[in-house]
Amino acid sequence: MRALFWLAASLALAAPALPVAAQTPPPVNRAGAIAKPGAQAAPKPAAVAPTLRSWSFAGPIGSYDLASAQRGFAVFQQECSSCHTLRGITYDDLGGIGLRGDQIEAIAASVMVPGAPDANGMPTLRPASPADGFRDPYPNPAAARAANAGALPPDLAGLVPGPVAASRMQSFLLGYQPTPPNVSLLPGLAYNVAWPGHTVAMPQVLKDGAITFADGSRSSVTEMAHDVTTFLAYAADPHRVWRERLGVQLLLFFLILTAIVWIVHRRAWSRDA
Amino acid sequence: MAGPNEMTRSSMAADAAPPLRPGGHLGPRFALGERMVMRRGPGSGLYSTLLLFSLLLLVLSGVFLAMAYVPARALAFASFQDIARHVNYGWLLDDVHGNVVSLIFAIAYVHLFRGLWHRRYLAQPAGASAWVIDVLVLTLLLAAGFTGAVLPWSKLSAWAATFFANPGAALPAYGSGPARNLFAGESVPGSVLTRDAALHDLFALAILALVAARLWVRHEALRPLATPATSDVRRGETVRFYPHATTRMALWLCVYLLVLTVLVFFLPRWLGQGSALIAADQPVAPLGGAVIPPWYFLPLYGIVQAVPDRIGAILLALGALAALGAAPWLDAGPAPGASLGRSPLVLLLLAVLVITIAASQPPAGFWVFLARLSILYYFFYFLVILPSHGRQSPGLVAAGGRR
Repeated sequence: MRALFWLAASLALAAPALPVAAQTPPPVNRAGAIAKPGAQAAPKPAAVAPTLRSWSFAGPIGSYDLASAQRGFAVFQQECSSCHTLRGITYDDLGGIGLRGDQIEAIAASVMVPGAPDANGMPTLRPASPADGFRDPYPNPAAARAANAGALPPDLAGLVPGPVAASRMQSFLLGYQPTPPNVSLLPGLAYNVAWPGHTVAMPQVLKDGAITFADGSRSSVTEMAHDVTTFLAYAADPHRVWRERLGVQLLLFFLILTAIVWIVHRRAWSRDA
Repeated sequence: MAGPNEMTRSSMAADAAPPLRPGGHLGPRFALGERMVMRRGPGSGLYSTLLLFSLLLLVLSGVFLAMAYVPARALAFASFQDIARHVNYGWLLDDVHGNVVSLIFAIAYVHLFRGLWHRRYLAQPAGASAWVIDVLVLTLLLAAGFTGAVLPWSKLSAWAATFFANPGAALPAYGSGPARNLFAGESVPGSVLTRDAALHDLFALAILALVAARLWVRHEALRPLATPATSDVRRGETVRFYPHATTRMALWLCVYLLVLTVLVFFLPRWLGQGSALIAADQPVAPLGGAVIPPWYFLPLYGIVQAVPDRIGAILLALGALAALGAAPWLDAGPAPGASLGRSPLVLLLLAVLVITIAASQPPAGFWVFLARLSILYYFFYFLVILPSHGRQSPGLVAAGGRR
């Protein structure tokens, strides 16, 4: 018994200087940085804390601001989709941000996707149908890296799963600043105070007035960032509003059921065994 | 606790008019309503009820998830996305499965700690065998939870699979024979998910078998107390299965469903499924966050993270479970139910909490030191305090001790 204990003790106290990194799994980067290693020799400056903003979908009875999400989809189409994928989402899913069936068909039909081989076995292209997924901007990850100075643009489908992540995303989109004179960046990198290390591979894509919205809204960088974040939040959690409505009903049901069962329980136990 | 007045009143009522209890028409063996169960603690059926209900939810949601899931590395994440977005009520299946796992672990951990606190593993009847089954259930739950976390092939999954592969490759006898088919090699092979899905189902079946065994052990052990006539000796300790135990089970199931509703519908990813949103091949962790295992792995992961030696870490984590399961034989205490003094157990709870919190921190600095100290205390409790505390009071041991 004692021998077992000392065996355990010696294992637990085994030289603290040994690299614990053997247990830390390789694919994870705790800082979460995508900045290229070696871009800055100095210790990485910390990311500026994100500003918490109010979101239409926050809270148990929130719902997506559909006008904002539709403008956000326009921003995504014009600015984001040239580099980023939105995997797992079909054109049909745009019904959830309030687009009509004919609008969705028109949007899908404007995109050409690979079709069935023709009679000679040659590859063909066809207009996308609403059931198709969003088209990837690059044929494969290697092509995406080659076109973006070695950095792979992350998939946007799961990046903004809730209000906290949404605030982080908007702070990131608004975090671009002119490079300070004492900082030298490698080519292809941009200066963004919202990211650990202040160095990111994504350039600032949102510019004031870059987009003309169908509803006549102004397209300032702040508003575009807010709109596209709302759209990405919808893309990450399309059933959120439905889920929460259902949750309120179920909660009421179970509260009443619990009250009834509690009364039955009290009555049963008042006549003791 | 029933007072003397209630006892008299109730036995009079039982003599007067025995009503038909549920199952009575099937014969005495199936007359569940006639049975007596323990008023509280082991034998009351509460833990089994919550465990069985959780397993029922897991099996039901799991079967439907498996219908849409593709266990291949290139397609697994996409199939999970399709479940969450396009399969009818797929999001509900996914969120129920994930959050019931959290609840079942919470119930198992609380149950085991209460067992340690009241030293129920010494209780008669069948305390020790039920305790060993409980620890085996926890071990299999951890195994099923682990293999389940690998299935979506998210960032967390790839991380877990690598973690699984590397220590396996460090085992001395590893590298030949059937072990190679079961586990991965030094790097994660392409077939990892087909193997993993098969193991996940196997562990689920094993848990169901163990819970059935646990019910049977209790059923047989409680047979002497089964009928009101023979249980007069322990009258204050037992209640009727129907309506007393059943209404209490129903009340606890309602509380369970309330908690589950809040989790699934309002906080579906609060208990650590956030990392499952990012595919394994993506360049970033979730925005600004790190990938941390779900909370129920943290006590064991904390041990693994704090020990620098690969094999030692795995052995120590398994040893922690083994020490827990051996508690009935390590405890040299005077008698079941007698208090051991609260401070060693409060310290044990604190130690496990420290290991858990340390596991969610980067493995460096003060937390590693604290975690190692806590691991030392954990084993000190099971291997020194439990075997020795009885010997300090020889009078008590002579009166009713096990040794």
